[in-house]
Amino acid sequence: MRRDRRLCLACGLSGLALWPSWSGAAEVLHVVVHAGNPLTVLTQRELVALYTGRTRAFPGGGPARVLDHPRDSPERQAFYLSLTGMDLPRINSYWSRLHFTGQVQPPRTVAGDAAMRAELLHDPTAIGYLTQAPADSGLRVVHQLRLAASPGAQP
Amino acid sequence: MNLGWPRTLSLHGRFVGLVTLVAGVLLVLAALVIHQFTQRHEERNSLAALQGVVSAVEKTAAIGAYAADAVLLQEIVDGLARHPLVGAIVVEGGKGQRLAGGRVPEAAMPPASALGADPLPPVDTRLASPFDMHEQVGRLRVWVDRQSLTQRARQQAQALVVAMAVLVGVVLLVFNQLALRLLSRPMATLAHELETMTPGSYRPLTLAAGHERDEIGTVVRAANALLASQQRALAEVAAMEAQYRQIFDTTSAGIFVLSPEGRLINSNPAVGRLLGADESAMKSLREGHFPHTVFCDPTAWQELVMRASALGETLSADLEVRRFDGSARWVHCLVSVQAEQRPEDRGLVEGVLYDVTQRRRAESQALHRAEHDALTGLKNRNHVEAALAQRLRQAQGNGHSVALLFVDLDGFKAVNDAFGHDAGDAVLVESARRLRGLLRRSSDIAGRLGGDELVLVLDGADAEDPQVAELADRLVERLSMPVRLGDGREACVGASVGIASFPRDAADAACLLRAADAAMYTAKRGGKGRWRRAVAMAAPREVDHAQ
Repeated sequence: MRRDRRLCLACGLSGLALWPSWSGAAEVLHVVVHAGNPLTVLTQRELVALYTGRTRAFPGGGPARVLDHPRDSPERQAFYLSLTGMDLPRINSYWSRLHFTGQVQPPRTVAGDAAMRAELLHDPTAIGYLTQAPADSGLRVVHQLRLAASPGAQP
Repeated sequence: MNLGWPRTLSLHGRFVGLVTLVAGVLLVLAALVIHQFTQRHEERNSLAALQGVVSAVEKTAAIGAYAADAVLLQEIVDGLARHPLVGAIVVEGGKGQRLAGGRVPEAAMPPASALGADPLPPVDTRLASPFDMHEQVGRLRVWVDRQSLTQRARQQAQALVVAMAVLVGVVLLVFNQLALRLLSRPMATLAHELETMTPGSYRPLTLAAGHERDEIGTVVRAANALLASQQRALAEVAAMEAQYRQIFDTTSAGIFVLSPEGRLINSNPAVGRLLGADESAMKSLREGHFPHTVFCDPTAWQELVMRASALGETLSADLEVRRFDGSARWVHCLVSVQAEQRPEDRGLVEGVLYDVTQRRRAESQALHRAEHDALTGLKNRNHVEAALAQRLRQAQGNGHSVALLFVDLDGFKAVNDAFGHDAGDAVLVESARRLRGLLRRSSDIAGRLGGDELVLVLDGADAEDPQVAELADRLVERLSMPVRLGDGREACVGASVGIASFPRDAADAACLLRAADAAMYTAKRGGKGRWRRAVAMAAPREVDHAQ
């Protein structure tokens, strides 16, 4: 687990009108699990599988409860753009097709870093992402997601 | 529909039949090609349409495959299955496992042999991960529904073929009507008019309107010109025939034609007139053997015919014919035998008869007059001299003798003076008759040299023959018998006869006459009423034979 203030600064510096709430805050998003989770590191591919509902289990085998920021939040936009190269409307479209059958559940929505942190501390099977590196030892960063250089760019 | 077909086996019927047949065959070939074409066309169209449909669901299907959402995939599959083109659908995951499917692929793909074509390949779409296009998360394969495709192709082909058949049918009908109107009907009319036309009944062919300048017009004009000229020629021939017929019927010459066997084939009225034959007689003449019935000497006729046939010329001869009333007539007969021309005419005998009875009669009368004494009917001097010379030539040739009895009537002048010349003539006529009664054979001659001098030529007799002496006796006796005159009176003359014979007494006719004349004078001097033989040659010795 690592704290990186520079990320926040960089986020603040490069903040744009699109992401006003944490403009200039960070250039890295931290994917975090409960410290009790045996998982220590996640590849980007495994992360995509978890967040697109392709799988519901961690690579180690344990069930995963995937947490997400609210639907139109800048955190979520930055996360998916960086993770998949897709903007939110496309991600939402993806989910709306899967919603239709009810077979695949989208991640549970948690509003804000604080609530996310609280959920993560509370649930050992949960996984989420934070704009700030967690300071407490109850959480573990398994993946650091570098923000896309130019927002809205397609992969 | 009455198409007004011309009569059986017409050119039009054959033509239209053939055209229809060819059109039908072409239509069948076209139907086969169209069927193949529509099949291929439908296959291409179906694949393209399927491609479009599959493209529409590709993204969603990729998401379904990525998220392994069987329900979503099944929804997609069911949606696709509702499309009429779609036969079978299979969605496989990235590892080839079957995620969803619709219908049975085998049912969508009938055996290749049923269609004679390779089964259509499915529309095969690679499903890429929505988040990583390089990762293949599945495969969507959609097959075309062969049955419905084939059915649609067949329906299209049928519609095309039906449309084409209707078009061909309409074109054929129009074509038929045009051919009928422009060609067949005028031709049929023309053929009918020509067929019903008989020689002599000339009626110009009708030229249908609108055909003045085409081939039919040319044919009609040419035929009309030909018919007109033929009509003129026929009229000329008929006129000529009428003339000939007139000549044949009215000529005084009898014209007839006989078969080689001698049966009468044809004759003109003059033959009947010549033979005095009415209708029934002519009929019997036609049934019998003409030369045998008609000619007095059929052999002469037969020889004439044979000579004419052998020479190939027209020969003529005078022949005697028997009329039906029994009398005989002389005809001059020209005969020719046909040798050439048509075979059925070969050997026909053509004869022309002229009645020459009058001429023959006149000729014989003239001859008679030239040879005979008009009063007594005995041969005259000229004839006696000529005939005697002829007999002598004959006798010289065969060694016979000819005796000449020279007669002079005794007392004839007295009868003339006493009873007149008529009585003298009567005595001469009666004496001539008695003289003729003594002729023995046809070659003997009884003649009158003039006045009361009569001669008797006995062919083949010699003055010394006893028969001659006996005949001379009878001659003297007969002529001495009284002659009854027309008025009941009787005249009486006697006869002195001198006899000489060739070659005993003379070498030629003149000498013989002179010798007999001299012997007659000897008889006169001896007392008349007796005969004397000439004295042979140089030493005449007259023997008195007193009566």
